Amino acid sequence: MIHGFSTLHPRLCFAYFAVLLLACMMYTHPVYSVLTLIGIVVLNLSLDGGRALKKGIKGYLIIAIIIFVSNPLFSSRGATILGYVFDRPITLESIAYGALFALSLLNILLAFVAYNLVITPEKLLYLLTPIAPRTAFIITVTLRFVPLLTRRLKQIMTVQRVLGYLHPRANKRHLMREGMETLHTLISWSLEEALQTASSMRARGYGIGKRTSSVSYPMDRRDILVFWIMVVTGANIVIGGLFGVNRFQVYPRLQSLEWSPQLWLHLICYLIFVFIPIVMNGKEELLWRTIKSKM
Amino acid sequence: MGKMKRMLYFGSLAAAIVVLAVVLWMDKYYMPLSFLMIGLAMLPFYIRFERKTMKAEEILLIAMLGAIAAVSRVPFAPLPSVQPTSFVIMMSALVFGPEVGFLVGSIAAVVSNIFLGQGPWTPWQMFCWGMIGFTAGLLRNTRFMKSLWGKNIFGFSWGFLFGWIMNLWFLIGMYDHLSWKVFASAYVASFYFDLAHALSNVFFISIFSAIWLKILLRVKSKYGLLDSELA
Repeated sequence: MIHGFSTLHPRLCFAYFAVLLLACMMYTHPVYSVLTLIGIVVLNLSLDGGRALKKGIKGYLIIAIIIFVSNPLFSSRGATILGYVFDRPITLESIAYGALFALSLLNILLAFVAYNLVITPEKLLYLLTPIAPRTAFIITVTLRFVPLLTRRLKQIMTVQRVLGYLHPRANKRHLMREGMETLHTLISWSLEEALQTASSMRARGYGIGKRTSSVSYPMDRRDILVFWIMVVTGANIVIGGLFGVNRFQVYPRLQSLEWSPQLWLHLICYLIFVFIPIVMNGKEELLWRTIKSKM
Repeated sequence: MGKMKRMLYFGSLAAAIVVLAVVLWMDKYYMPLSFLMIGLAMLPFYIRFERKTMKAEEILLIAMLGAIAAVSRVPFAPLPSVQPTSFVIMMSALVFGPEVGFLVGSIAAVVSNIFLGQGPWTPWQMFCWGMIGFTAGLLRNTRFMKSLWGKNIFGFSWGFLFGWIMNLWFLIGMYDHLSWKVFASAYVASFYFDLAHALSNVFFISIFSAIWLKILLRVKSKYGLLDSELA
């Protein structure tokens, strides 16, 4: 569904994910990690009902569990010794550290699931064009070649089948030789075609002037409002992070949670920032359900 | 931009990056630092690509090779580490040189991940595949790379190197103190995947490389592309 956060200006979406990912990597405070996890999961649910999340979550959870379990086995730093395994001390701190970093890795991976839903290739290219026009162009062309190549592959295989070369009951070696032949036909054909495309492009004036983008995303009033919310909360997040407001010490001794007014302020700003897309998507959802026709 | 102004601009940009790197290093934020580093490592290639005068044919050729490399990865996605992408990148680099090799490799990584899903691994894959192309291109005129044995050894060792570099992205950020033991066990754990990659490289190189080189060389000599400046 394309509504709410996904229709925001691509630069704002990108900035959101950049800050979110940096926060996932840099903040080790357990409250922050847990709230980020909740935020990202809800964001995923509001984007596509959790379909993309369901596909990847198993593998990601396995990675996180491996990290969580293996950290105390490798590291015996920390002051609180809980017991010994193979004559190596297992400390509370190394378990906590493993848990926090497993959580942070999980956050990063899940944030990328949402990223893939929001930043579509089209938006990625829009973002890349002003910085690196030729790179954006080459990625566009490469993307366009992918479906073309699969279509051609089917065509070649049809011809081979009609000619009787791709017999399904033929032996394996024969099939493999034919498979190679398919691939080589595809390459020779496509490379020649690419060069003809290039000549045609040059004939139409490629490289004469600056290229323009076919999609444009104007900043409207909603974008500007969200922009200012992101700037204010984002500045708080960065400045607070630099001063170490939300620093959480694991080594040498696990720190207990201390709540200072600065931490509260920082946490609230962070929460507002993380929940911007969820609020936007939620608003759309509410509108959809409660709207009444005035006809 | 004037020369003075440009120097000032790039000087301050470089200084900002250095300060950022130092801050990240001091505060032990190794994961963002690693992404900064990997980005900087790839930057020169892309700056050069953006600034060089290139014919449309050359750009399209790189795009097509990248597309072939990316497409060949998608059907193999369920089998971890087995893909002909590294092979396609190597072949392009052997014919068209190191720069094209790098671009084909990194673009194939970006484009195939658009279909398979971007993640924190994307920059690392761009770097690894780019480096396969770059090194293959640098060595292309040596006797070692001209022999089938040399190509096989090259592909086999890159199969392992690729996995070892890819392991870094989560190892760097995720362990409170990195020791050789952590590295060793991660590398032991990934051994079978790396071996699969290495063996699939050897398989593709020993069976397909002669005919691929013939096809690519034919295109190159027919259109006289990407030759003089990259030799």
